[in-house]
Amino acid sequence: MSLTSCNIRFTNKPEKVIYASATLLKLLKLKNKKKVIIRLGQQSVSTSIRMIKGKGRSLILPTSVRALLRPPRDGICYIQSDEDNELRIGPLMGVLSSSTPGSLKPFGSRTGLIRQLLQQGKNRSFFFAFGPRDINWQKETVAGYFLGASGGWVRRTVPLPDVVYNRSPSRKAEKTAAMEQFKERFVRRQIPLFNWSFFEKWDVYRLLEDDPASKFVPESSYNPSGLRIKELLEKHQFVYLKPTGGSLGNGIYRLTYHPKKGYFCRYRFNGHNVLLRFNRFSQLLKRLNYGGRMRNYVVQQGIRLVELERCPIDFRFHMNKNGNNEWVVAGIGAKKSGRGSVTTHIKNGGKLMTPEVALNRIYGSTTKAEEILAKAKQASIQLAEAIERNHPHRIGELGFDIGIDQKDHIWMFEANSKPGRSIFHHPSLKSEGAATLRHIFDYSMYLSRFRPGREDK
Amino acid sequence: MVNTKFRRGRLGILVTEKSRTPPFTEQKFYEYLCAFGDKCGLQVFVFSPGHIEWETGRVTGYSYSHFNKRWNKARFPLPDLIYDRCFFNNKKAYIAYRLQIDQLRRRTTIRFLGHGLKGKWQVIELLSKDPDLSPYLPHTEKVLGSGTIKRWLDEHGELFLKPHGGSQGRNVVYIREQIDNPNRYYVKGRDANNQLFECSFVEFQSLYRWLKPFMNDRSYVIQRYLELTTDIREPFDVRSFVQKNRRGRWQLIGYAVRKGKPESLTSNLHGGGIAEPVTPFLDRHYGHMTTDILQNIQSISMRIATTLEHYHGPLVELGIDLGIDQAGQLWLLEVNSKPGRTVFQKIGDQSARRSAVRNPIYYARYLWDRHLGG
Repeated sequence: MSLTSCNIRFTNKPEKVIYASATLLKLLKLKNKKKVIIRLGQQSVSTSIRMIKGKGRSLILPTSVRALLRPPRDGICYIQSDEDNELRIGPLMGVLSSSTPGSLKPFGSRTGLIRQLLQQGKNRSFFFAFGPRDINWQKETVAGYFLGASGGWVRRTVPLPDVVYNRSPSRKAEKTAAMEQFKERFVRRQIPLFNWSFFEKWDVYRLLEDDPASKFVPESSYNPSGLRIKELLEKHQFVYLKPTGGSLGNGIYRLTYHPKKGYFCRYRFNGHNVLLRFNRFSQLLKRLNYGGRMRNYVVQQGIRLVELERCPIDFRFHMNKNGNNEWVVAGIGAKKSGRGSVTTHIKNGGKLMTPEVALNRIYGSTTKAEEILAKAKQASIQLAEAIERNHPHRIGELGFDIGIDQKDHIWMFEANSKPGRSIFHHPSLKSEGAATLRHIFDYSMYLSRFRPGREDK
Repeated sequence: MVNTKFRRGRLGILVTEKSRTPPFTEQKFYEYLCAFGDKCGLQVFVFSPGHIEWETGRVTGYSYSHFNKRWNKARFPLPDLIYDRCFFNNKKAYIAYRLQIDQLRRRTTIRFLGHGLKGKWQVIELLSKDPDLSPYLPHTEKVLGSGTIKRWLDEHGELFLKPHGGSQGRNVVYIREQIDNPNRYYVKGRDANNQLFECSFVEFQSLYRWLKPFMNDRSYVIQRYLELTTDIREPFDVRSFVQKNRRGRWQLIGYAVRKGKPESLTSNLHGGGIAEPVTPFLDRHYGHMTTDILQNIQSISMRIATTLEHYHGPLVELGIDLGIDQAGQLWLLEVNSKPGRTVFQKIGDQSARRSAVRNPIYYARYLWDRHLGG
């Protein structure tokens, strides 16, 4: 296989012949071929090929081939040949979201992010975004949104893509049967689609249950009985009760047990942090308004996080698959919670820092900080690999909430399959934000099987 | 419409004085405004900045009498509302106008339907503050001297020079640097009379020696040259027209394609361009992309209006010139706050033509009812 880049141009010549420069043919090892199959996305056309003079890497497509293949633009893209005389141009890569035609923000509040992502494909590939309704399954085409010369939106009908990155906007839409079927249709056509759906937050605990990586996950119980809560509380002296559906730290209780002082319960109410004390566990249970099992709650081993100025610190790790199909840590944000608050969510008065700043200040030693950071990175890569191993669908991106306890253990509290990007608004994390986009592009290249052979690298 | 005020509102159409009788252009349009204003309960007259008597608070102007079918000269009290339709072709006239306008604006009892935009550079600057619009703006820079032009040619090889103020396609220049030609600088443009010309220069100094008097002390902008032509190299653009309506809201009234002769540089009607309806034109040149392009024209036009008004202040109507490149992407070429409206008549779009001439009256009446007098 040979991968290189080429410069596509169009001609009005009527014959069904494509022309390639001598340089390009040599790079593609197609020098003496008369017929080839040229493919873009899922559409292929059989055609004659002829050599033209010229130093550049020109590939010239006549109207007949252009009409069947539907390349969205002329100019530079990748080209790859294989032993079966198949010539692929592209890659044709789609981002799945939900679209509103004719709007200046065709992808709503996600338009900015999608624009940044598509810019990664500039002069390299045919990168577009689309919504479910933009696909025509009968004709096997998609009316995609491309970026024009200066970044304005242009709609073009192209064949089904080589790869789909799922960035569907809502948890709810994602769960519908129609959406499941929609995604299945790509899989049936052997079009790789990554980031299948949102995780249910607690799925990840089950995914990792029998995996060696479960050592990074705090001990948890789903819909626990009162007895189970008591058991964990006495074992760890400190547990969390968290609603399984919620986010942003609502409805979370922090329970602690002190053999001499009794049971403490801390939570957030009307924007304030509340602290209650009970002598007996049964009183605490009553207060939690609790009859039998705690429905849709998880009890979880509490972790005594490292602190800075007496506030616990936790970390958001943004994980990406790269162009070699390996997990990498693309960006890390350190979050300092408001004093006494139950969680470290930034919205509850927390503060965002770079991990280096946070760890240096916690440990007062760069060597120790570097050592811990390396350890945490390694753990998160192991975790990402484990989740991918145990998950039925392809994942290209993960967000982890990572904690470090006072004995230097690394813990993972939460995994998000469609991680938010708020940490990348921090001025010191902007370049990491760009790196995640690059990884998504590279991983899409990998999945679309446009891969450099050894000699082309 | 029921007039709740104790008297009729007075709408003054502010025009540039010409040496003719009556002393202004666009007479048919203003004649209609007088008649339609009368129907809507507004007294309409035409006046120019030189005929305001500040001491008595009166102006000498013209109103059209449908009974006599002629323009009558008369003295009127200062208007309540002003529809500014002044055009200038030199700095001196503009400065005189500015002084009068500033005085009128200082009167709290007078409301302008809209304040004129200052020119291309201001428009680009204001619109680039809107991240959803900035991708549709061609790269533009103010000309500060020969250095700006030299640098652009070094970087881009070609450029388009346009006067900052409205020009109807006049006094524009396209320059291309031809590295393999002894006549290194090729120039094509339109002169002060909108006539097409071509010339070339051996070196940059001689080009600039010619260019300086051509620019004649006007402010210019440099814009990236975009090849916005049909496949037989006819330049074209889409003129879309948005106005405030009788409810005080922006409304897209209509649009038309303006097409110049092959190789003629601009598509302005003043430069010999012709107008045609948008949809069949797009069908012919962009096929299945037509619907999307039309939707984009609408959303971009409306957004330009709201964004400009947000940053600039009151506006009543805008003529927006949009280019479309080969890929189907739109480009904003120009925004005109004192647009002509002949284009709808030329393409036979009666409903757009009617709205275009009525809306200034409707909007004036809306302002009079809501914000003034009484």
